[in-house]
Amino acid sequence: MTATIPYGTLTDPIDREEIMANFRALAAKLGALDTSDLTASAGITVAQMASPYQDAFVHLEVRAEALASGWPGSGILAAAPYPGISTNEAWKAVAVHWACTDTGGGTGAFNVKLGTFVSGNFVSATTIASSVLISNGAAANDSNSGAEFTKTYANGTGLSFAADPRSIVIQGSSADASTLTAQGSFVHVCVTLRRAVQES
Amino acid sequence: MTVTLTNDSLSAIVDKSEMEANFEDLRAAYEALTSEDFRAKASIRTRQFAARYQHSRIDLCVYAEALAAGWPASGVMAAVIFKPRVETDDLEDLFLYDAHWCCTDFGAGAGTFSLQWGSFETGSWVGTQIASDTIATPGAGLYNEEHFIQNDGSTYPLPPSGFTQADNMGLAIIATGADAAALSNQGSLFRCTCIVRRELTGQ
Repeated sequence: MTATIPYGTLTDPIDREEIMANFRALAAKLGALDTSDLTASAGITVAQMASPYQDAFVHLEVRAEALASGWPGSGILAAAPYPGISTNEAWKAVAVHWACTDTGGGTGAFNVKLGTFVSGNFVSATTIASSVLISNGAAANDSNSGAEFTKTYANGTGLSFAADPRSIVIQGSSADASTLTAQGSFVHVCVTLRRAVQES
Repeated sequence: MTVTLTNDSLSAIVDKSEMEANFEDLRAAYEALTSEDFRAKASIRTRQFAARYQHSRIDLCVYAEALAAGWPASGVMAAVIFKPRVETDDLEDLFLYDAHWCCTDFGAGAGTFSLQWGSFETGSWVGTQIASDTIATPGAGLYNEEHFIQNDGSTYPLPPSGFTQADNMGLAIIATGADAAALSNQGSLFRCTCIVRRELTGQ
């Protein structure tokens, strides 16, 4: 609401009650500020906000139909471009979760990495999660899921932007020939990224 | 902006115009506040913003090549485990805000599914239903879609009421009714996109 003072024009000589009424009006205004008191382009900064963070989910999926003989011990199994551009604030990885509908022998494992495809090869820049085990839930070949890590923004893994395009990938790190052999089975990895809201 | 008083020093016998000018300085400042009027770490709460929500997308996909004989009568068709909260409990609640499916081969239109919240427990999916739908035929052609949860920011908290929060939980598409002709064409797919919403977070 618009600020008002009861005595924009004072009597002469000054009446102390008029002065005090104006002081009280201004004092009362503090604690009752609302959006109309801000200029239309007030430019409140991220640092002035108590809760400035947004999330983005990056989905990576490996399906049985894509594998020749179960879960491999190496190679890029899924990839997703890293969202955003270098003029934005970089994201932090704050969680990695996985689900699998055919865990096989429970020994397959994967890395989650940020990197670049250069001259036909993947060059890792940051390891987000290492040797994540696709463990059995209760028995061989059953379904299971896991949370590799969950962190606050302050403790998240920084993922810097670079001039090169970058991708977040799942990389096989330990083989299990019986994982993802059932038709229709899959491994789905969800990487939660977090950063402050952007001004542009 | 910084408030500057026109008369930072008053006359020994105060002149009314000096006072009037100073009051006007303060009044004008109150109705033209900018970032500079707040401390660098003012901790302005999200709920003080008119636009305070973030949206994220969860995709649940089923491909024809994954199915032996069209849409089955049961089973986990797709699942995404993700992060409603971190290790602390003071994040804002997450809600399923929007859910929309599309299908490029609905077959006879008899396939049904349940959208559930849950987790894999000792080898099997354990979940609770959020919504269900039929991959219905529109009467002709192969393609169809349905926007079965729309702009609902309060009905579907994640996790649902009664669930204890755990880190390895998420959303899944569970087949509940078979249609052998659905997703029987090579390359066809069923995809359900869920939009989850919550207020910006401080963690």
